[in-house]
Amino acid sequence: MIRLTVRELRVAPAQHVATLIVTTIGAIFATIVIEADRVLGSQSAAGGFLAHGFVRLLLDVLGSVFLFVAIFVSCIVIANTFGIVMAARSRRIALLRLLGAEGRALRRGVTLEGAIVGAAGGVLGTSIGLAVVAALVAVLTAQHTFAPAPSPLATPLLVAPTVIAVLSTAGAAWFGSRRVSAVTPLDAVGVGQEASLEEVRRRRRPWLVSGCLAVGAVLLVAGVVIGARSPFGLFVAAPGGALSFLGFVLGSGTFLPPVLHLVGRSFGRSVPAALSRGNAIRHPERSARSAISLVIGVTLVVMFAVAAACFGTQAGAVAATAGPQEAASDAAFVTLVLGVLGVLIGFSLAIAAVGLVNSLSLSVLQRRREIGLLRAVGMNRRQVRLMVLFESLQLTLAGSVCGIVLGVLYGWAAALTALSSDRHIGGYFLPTIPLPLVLSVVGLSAALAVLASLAPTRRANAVSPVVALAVE
Amino acid sequence: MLEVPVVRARGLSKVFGGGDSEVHALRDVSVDIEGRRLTAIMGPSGSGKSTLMHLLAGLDRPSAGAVLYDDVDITALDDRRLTALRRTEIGFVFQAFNLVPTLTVLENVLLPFELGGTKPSGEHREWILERAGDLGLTPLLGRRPHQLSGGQQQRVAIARALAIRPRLIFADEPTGNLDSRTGLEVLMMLESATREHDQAVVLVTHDPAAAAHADRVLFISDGIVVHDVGRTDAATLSDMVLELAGAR
Repeated sequence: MIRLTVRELRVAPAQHVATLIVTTIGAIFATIVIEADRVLGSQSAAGGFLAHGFVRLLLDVLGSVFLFVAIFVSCIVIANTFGIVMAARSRRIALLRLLGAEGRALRRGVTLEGAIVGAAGGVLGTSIGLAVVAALVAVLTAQHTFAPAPSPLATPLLVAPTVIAVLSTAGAAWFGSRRVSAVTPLDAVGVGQEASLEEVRRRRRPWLVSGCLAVGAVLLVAGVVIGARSPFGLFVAAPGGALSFLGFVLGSGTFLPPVLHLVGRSFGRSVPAALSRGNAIRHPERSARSAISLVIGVTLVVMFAVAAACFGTQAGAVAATAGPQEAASDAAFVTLVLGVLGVLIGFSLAIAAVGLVNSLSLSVLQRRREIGLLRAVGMNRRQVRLMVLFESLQLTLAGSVCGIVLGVLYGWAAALTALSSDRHIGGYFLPTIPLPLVLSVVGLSAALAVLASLAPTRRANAVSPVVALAVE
Repeated sequence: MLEVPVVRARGLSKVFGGGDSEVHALRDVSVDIEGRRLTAIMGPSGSGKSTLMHLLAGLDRPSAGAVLYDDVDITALDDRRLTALRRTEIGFVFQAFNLVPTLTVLENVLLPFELGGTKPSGEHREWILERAGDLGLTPLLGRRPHQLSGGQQQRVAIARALAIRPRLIFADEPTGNLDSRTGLEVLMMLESATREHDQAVVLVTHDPAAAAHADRVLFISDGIVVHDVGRTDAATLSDMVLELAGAR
């Protein structure tokens, strides 16, 4: 079985490119967080940078929360990617089941694949992260922002990103490969069918979804309440947010189709629009898989943007009531936080884009025969292009709408938890919604839809009607 | 010459769907599949011949009835034991060749052992290599499936099925994707497996020319075995098919 795994990695490494990119990005991020904390620590010891004790504490808290979020997101995206890889491989898995492989053994093999890819991504990401930090420190020292403090780059803690990458990728691969157990040997004979919406609803263990949502929401609210006294409320609110979000992700097979349908209705009544609308609803699992990575990305972007906007608004309040020195220190801090946010936004968008392109390509690949049939009965290439584009748009727009709503909620909760204990702000406040950002998220996701549909469209239009109608 | 049955089906029924859309794919079918013989299951599309094969191979569970391997009713086995049964007792050859694209020819042939975490003994391995040689695979053992022609791929699938020395081999339209000459070769190979290696083979097909290679032909129509005949030539089989089509 180990030989099969190694063979899979050696012969068809392309299927794990998405996972490798995601783990690498995650490891880069973890490395930067670890290094940033260390470097800033030595800087505040060496010079007057960040003397504000409260800000130091908050930075440490935020650093761990960011890291936690990044790992969580990578896990979800990797699990999705493995789900997609398994879907693409399901015929082969069915064959192995037919020939007498046990589902469990196959899953163990897939988990091992995940661990190996995770190790590669971890090492690669750590190296890149170290290089980035070293370059940044050099630049900041040259600009006299940093005191020239000697700080050796390597610390034993740097093993952590790789260890985390291996563990989380293996875990995500195990979780993402759960459909391996669902593949029956009959699928090899071509009799197996994809689950319908009703089956998904029945199978989805609704208690798990509602349990995650309920417990998560309670923790989130509790965190906000504790946050009124101490920023440590983040340690309660963050797992709460993650848990409720996990609930949403797990239940996406039922939550997303209605949104997809609503978005699809706005495309009008043309044939390609009607077909793409049907496609998105027909395989709720596949559609949810495609949209969820974008939901994750957009939620994060909006969450941090809303949190940052709240920081900005409240910093004004601090400046008005506190002394100018304190306000300046806080302003420096906010700039720093915004910088970190920008980095995280970049990471999560990259992760989301990888996920989307991946799943759209698969969607077209799995529908080769259907597309061939449509071409045979007279659909022209332009209509095929429109159909794929509409489907892509439907996924990205539905994803970004969900993401924006969730992001505003989570961002607001985070800002409340982190800031409402500051004596200059005093109490709760309404969320500041950065409208330009929300609009550009919608615009960007539309652009992403167009971009992501290019390759699949080319592939769809390359399908000859004759080939597609033949027995495979 | 009466052969001992390797698999016995008793009162097999299979119903798909429920309520108004209920479809009876098989109705109370009882057959014995005998060793050292090529048994063909014929019938028009939708007759239930594939369903019968799936049930005999433990790929699907019947609505009623039993499938007996010796005295074990496999319809009562759990997935784990069914999996082991497929790995050790049943060989499969399909229309769509069904090879693992990332493995070489030899690795594909030895795949059932790999999956079971075992290795064939030295003598057994030699026997497998000999069979691969008989099938003309010796020069191809290091290649990948995509480097082979359709006929060659199907020969790899036959070698894989033979390798475990199974109780019986199921061949589901094995010539469906092949030109007639290559298809004929494949049929002769299945035939010689029964003669030279005492292998029981079940051939599922709708092609009278293919079924003419069988020692025994079962006709299935609307879920019932309507004819059970010995070796018959293609023309007669063809007439029987047409007659069935007319009767429907």
